[in-house]
Amino acid sequence: MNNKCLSFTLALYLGSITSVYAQRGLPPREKTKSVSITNYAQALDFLPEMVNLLKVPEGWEVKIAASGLGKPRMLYNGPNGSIYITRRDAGDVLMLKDPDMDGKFADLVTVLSDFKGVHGITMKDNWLYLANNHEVRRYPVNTDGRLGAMQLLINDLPDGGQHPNRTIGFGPDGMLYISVGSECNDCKESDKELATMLQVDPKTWKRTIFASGLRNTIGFDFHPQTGELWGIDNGGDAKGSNWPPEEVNHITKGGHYGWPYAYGKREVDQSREDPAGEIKEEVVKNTMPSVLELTAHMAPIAFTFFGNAGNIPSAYAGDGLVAWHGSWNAKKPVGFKVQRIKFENGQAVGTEDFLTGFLKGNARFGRPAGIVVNPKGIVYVSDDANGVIYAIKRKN
Amino acid sequence: MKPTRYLFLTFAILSGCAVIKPNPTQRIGFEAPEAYPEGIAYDSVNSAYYVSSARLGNIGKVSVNGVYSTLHMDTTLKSSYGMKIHPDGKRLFVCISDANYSKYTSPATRKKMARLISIDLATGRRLSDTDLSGLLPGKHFANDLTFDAQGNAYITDSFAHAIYKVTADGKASVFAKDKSFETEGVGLNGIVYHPAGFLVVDNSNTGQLYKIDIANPLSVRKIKTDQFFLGADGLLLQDANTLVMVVNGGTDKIYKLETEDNWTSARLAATTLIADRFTYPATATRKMNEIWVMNARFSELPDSNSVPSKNFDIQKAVFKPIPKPKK
Repeated sequence: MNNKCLSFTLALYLGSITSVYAQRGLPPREKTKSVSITNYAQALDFLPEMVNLLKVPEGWEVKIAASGLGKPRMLYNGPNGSIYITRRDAGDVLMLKDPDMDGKFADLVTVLSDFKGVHGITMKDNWLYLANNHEVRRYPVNTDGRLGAMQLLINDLPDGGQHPNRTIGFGPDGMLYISVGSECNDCKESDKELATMLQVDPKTWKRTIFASGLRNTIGFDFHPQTGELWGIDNGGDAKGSNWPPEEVNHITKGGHYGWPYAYGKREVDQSREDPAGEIKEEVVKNTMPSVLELTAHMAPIAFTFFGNAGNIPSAYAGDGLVAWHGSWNAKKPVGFKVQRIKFENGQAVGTEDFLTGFLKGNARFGRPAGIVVNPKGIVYVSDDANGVIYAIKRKN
Repeated sequence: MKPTRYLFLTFAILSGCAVIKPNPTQRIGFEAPEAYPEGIAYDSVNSAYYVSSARLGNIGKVSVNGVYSTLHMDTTLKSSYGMKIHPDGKRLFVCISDANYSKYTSPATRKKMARLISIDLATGRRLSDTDLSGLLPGKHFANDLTFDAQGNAYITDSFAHAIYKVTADGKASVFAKDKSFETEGVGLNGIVYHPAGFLVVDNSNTGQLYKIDIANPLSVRKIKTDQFFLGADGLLLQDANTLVMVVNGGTDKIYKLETEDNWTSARLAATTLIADRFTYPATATRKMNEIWVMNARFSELPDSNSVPSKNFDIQKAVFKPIPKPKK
């Protein structure tokens, strides 16, 4: 047999014994080099006077609404101006009340404990919905805000791995959306529900994949006028200090948003293997580009639109707020602030600082995580490093 | 902002930066594999610390040089928590329950058992064993205790949201129960007796403190503070107007609260720092004019990847004063 015949036969033979699933891609030809830096901004002890170091836009003021809360994370509006707070480290849910409406939460009670890793929270029709890495549960809310007996809705979400912090929210279509982050930094996932936005039908609690290729879109919300779904995605690590960008995405049904092969506006990650039987560039052509690309490694957590809250200037109508938790692998720390994402005609067009000042040199006295805008127009921001809830509202 | 404020903040930031490197204060390390000690009590007569064990239920004795020996062992105790030396100096009273981390947990005792035992310090023998679980229905967790001037013991039940009283001759009763104590998870926790005739108690999951008149236990008032103290654990009354509070639950600091109105309200007057690296501090004890804290390391226990710790530390609390805010 000559060489051509031999190699052809060999290829046929090998092709026939390749397994049907778990196809690996071919190695990329490009060599890449990046310098991975870690620089964790140092933790400063908190003092209440530090609120004077925070800056908000003209016409707004910021005050401490509560402190000493350990690691408060995601927020949700409860009845009568109260707020619910999930604490993933403690596995509990707090309820804070401000009975005399002086802007400071005076009453606190833990309404749920022993829900390990609880993170995502939303409410609908007097049910409180909660999610951890595997489960989505709901509880009826009593008149005093405390919770009744648990109803388990879903208990088989994929393992969390690196990104177990599920978030949930109901869309204008009445469906429940769950953000399920990737298990890893930039691998090819084996479970198809990882790195996706899932859509759950509340009539059956069965779910489908709404969008994919989203590495970790913790913050998402529905535009108050267009009803469209927008989310902020956490870009990959260890690819350099300035890349990839954090993405502002308009998330649509059936969209693939690029991860792990591309970030931003279809910028290919050359360090990845090609997908099985394909090349990265071809796959990426069919992915959705982001609408805005923002500074790498800022780590978006909560994202919410101002919605129909009262006492919000008309210039902010249709705009959103994102909490940048802050970087651990940028050359100089970035993030550690809340920004307004400006929308025009339902499209994200730019950003503007909303709450800054947590970062002092290479140290920080807070890491914004959760955001909620209450019906009276008070923006609550949680700091899950020093246990504070800040209230930002219009000056009188 | 006033110039003094700027100066203060600059100092705070700079001192924060200066001690940003982990810089634990003085520690007494001891080896007690898997103990996870929660309670601590210093014995000035015998120059030793007694420590409890949330995982093994025993009581240990630690010399000032960190030599550990077992004073009392009985696996049916499941877990031992807060402890105090009786005013007579001869007996150690210990809260016994099966609330969370016992190696010997069983369905019969889990969140059900609540006992107050006393140990003879000289021999390690158990002298008394008072069952508290029948006083109220539901779940139980005998967490911590204090003595009043008459030798009555007051014990917090973190799950029943009540304070029990055990008299000097061993009679147990419900002393105080209030709606404001109620919460999910671990509620009432640390407790102290104030010589002016009231108890001060904290609540881990409401993050608040309460004052209860001994003469009128229906009178329960929340102590007004500017912040919450989620994870509040052991308390120690340093003097009539100064309270030491150990806080874990993600904060891991020791605080000093001061009052100017006999505990109607209180402000945070001093604190330890992040740099001190207290490792899930649980309770505090006094040794002369120093405060020493038991690092219980409970954060390791829900973390399924950790093998059990062998070594634990009693750590000195060094407080940084917080200037009074200008009115």
